[in-house]
Amino acid sequence: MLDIEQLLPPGYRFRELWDAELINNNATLPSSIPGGHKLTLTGARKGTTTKGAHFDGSATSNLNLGALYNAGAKLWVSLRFKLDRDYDSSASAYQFLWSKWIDDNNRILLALENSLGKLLLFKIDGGVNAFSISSTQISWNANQSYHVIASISSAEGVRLIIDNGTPVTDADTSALPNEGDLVIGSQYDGEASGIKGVISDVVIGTDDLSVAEELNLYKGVPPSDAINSYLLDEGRGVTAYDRGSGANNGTLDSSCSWDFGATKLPVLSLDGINDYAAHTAYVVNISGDLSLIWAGKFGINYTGIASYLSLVEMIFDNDNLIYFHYYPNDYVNWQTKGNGTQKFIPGLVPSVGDYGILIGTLTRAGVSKFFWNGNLVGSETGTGVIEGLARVFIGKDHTVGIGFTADKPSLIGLVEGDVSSVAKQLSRRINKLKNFGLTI
Amino acid sequence: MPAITTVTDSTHCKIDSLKSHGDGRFQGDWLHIERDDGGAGAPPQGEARRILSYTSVDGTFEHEAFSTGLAVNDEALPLHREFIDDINGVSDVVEREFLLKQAFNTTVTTKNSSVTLFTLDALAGPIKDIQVEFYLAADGGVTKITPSVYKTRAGDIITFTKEVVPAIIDLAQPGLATASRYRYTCKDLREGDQFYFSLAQTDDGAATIVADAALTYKEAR
Repeated sequence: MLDIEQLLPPGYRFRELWDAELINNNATLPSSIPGGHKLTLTGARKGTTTKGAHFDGSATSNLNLGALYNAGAKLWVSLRFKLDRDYDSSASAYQFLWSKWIDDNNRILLALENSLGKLLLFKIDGGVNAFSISSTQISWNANQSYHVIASISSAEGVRLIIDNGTPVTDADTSALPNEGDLVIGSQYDGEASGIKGVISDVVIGTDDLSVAEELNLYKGVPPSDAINSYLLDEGRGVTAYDRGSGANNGTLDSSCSWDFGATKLPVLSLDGINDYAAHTAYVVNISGDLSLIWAGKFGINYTGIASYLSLVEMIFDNDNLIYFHYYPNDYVNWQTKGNGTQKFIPGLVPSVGDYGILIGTLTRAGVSKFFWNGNLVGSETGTGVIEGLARVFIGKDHTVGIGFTADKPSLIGLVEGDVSSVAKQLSRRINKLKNFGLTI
Repeated sequence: MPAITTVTDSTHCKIDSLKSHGDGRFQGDWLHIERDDGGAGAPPQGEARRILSYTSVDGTFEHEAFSTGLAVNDEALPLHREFIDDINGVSDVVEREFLLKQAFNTTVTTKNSSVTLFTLDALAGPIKDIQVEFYLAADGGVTKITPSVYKTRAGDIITFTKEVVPAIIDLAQPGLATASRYRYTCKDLREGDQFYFSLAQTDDGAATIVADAALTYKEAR
C-alpha cells in the first residue's frame, strides 16, 4: 500500500495537490495534502474521461433538447462524432446526427446519406426544399473523430464545414421550423434512424460565426456567446448538462450509454466558455525551487488559435508568476516570471482527446525546464527570483473573462523542489496511477 | 550473461544470445548493464534504461540512451518492469493493491442546513477503508449536528441513498465549552459507486460552526 505522497521521490513534497475524484458537489475541490488549499469551482464540475455519449440507432437512442429556437433566424451546431463502423455509399440507411423535425415536409437535418455516403445538411419547408448541401467527403472511418459545423443564418446563408475544411454553402436565408424538438443523435425522439456511434462536444449558438470562431470550434474553443454546450463527458446517468447560458439540460434516452476507453477517471470538466477553478487568496508559495504538474485529457488542439488560453496559473502579481498557458505561438508553454524577468519554454501541440502529463520546473537560480510526458522539451535560464504568495487559477487567466480552456485535468500539483532529475520517472508513475496509457 | 554484440547507435543495440523471443517480448521492460566491458565498473555499468522495442529476428533492442554509450561485450540483462526500481530511486511500479489517499477540508455548518464535507468517486476502481474525521469548533449553545453518509447503489448510479446501517448518532451540543473531534469509518465503495459525507445543523445554537475535516481512503490501482 502506497501513500499518494509517495508519487514523489524522497526529498520532495507537495505544496499543493488536487485530485479531481474529490470534487465536492461541483462546488469545491479539497486539497489532498495537509495544509493545502481547496479550490472553488465556478461553472466547472466533475466530469469523466468518457469519449462521449454512445447512440445505437434505436428508437430510444437520442438526446432530446426540446423545442428550441422555433422560427429562429440563425442557428449553428458544432459537434464531434465517431462511428462504430465505416460508412459510405454502401450503407443501408441514413444516420441522423441532429434534426429539428415537425414532419417529413417541415424539418432541418444533418445526416449521413446512405446512397452517396455524404454528410447531408437539408431543410424543407411545407414540402418545398429550402436547401440541400452535402460534404465532398463520401466515406467515413470507424473510430475516427470528425468535427462538423452546420449553420444557417438570415444574413450569411447556409454553411457546412467538416474538420475545418472548405465550407459547403447555400444562399438560403429562411428561418428554422417554427416548432419541433431539436434532437441530437436521431431525426426525432422515437425514430430508429440515428447515428450508430459517439457524439461529444455539442455546442450551439444563434448568431453568425466568424471564420475565426469556426476554426476555434474545430480546435476545441467555443465562442464566449455560445448558448448551449453539451460536453457529454458526464460518464454516468442520463442528464446531459448544458454548460452554456441556455441552461437547458437534456436527457439521454434509455438506449444511450457512455463510451469509455481503457482510461476511466473523474476529471475537472471545463467548458472553455466561462468555467474555472480557483483559490483567490494569496496563500500558495511559489518561491524557491518548485515544480508544477498538470495531468489530464486535452480538450483543445493548441495551435493556430488567436486567443490567449490558460491551463494553470499561479500568480502573486504580474511580475511574479508561473504558468502553463497557450500564447498565440502554436504551443502550450511553461512560463516563469520572477521580479519582472520572465522566460517562456514552448512545449508541444496536443490533439483533442490526447492525454498529457506536463511538468514545469524552476530553481531559485532561475533555471526552468519543461517536460512533456516525461521528455524534456526545453530549458531556459534567467528567470528572476519569484517573491510573494500566489493565487491559483485553473482553466482561465487571473484576468476577468480571459483565457478559458476546455481541458479535463485529473491531477494538478505543486511540488517543493526541482524534480527535473526524476521527471521521467514521476511521469511514469502518474501515467500508471491514472492509467493514461501513455508510452513514457 | 548475455553480451552486447552490436552497438548500432546510442539507442539501439543487438544481443545475439537474446534473439528469437518474439517481437515485443521485452518492450516496456528494462535493460540493465551488469558489467562494463572495460572491467573497471565504469558507466554504464549498473544503469538501467527502458526498452522501447524489441525485434526478435536479430535481437535488436531499442532503448533509452545510457549516460555513456554501450560497447560491444558489455554484459546486459533485460529485467521485467514489475521488479525494478530505476536508478533514481523512483519505482516505476505503482502497487496494484491499494493506494492510500487523503483530502482535507475546512467548512462551516449553518443553522437549518447541511454541508458536504467530502465527496468520493470510485469511477476508476473500488475504494475501501474510508475514514472521515472532523473537529467541530466549540459552541456554547444547544446545537445539534447530524452526520450522514450517502452512497449510490448497484443499478442506480446517480441517485444517492442515505446509509442507515450502522446508525449514525446525532452529535448534540458539539463541544459545549470545548471543541470536539469525531471519527467515522464508512463502508467500502465498489467500482463506479459514489459517496458523500455531510453534516446537518438544526435551527439552533451558533449561527455557524467551523468544521475541520480529514478524509482518508484506499483506492485500488
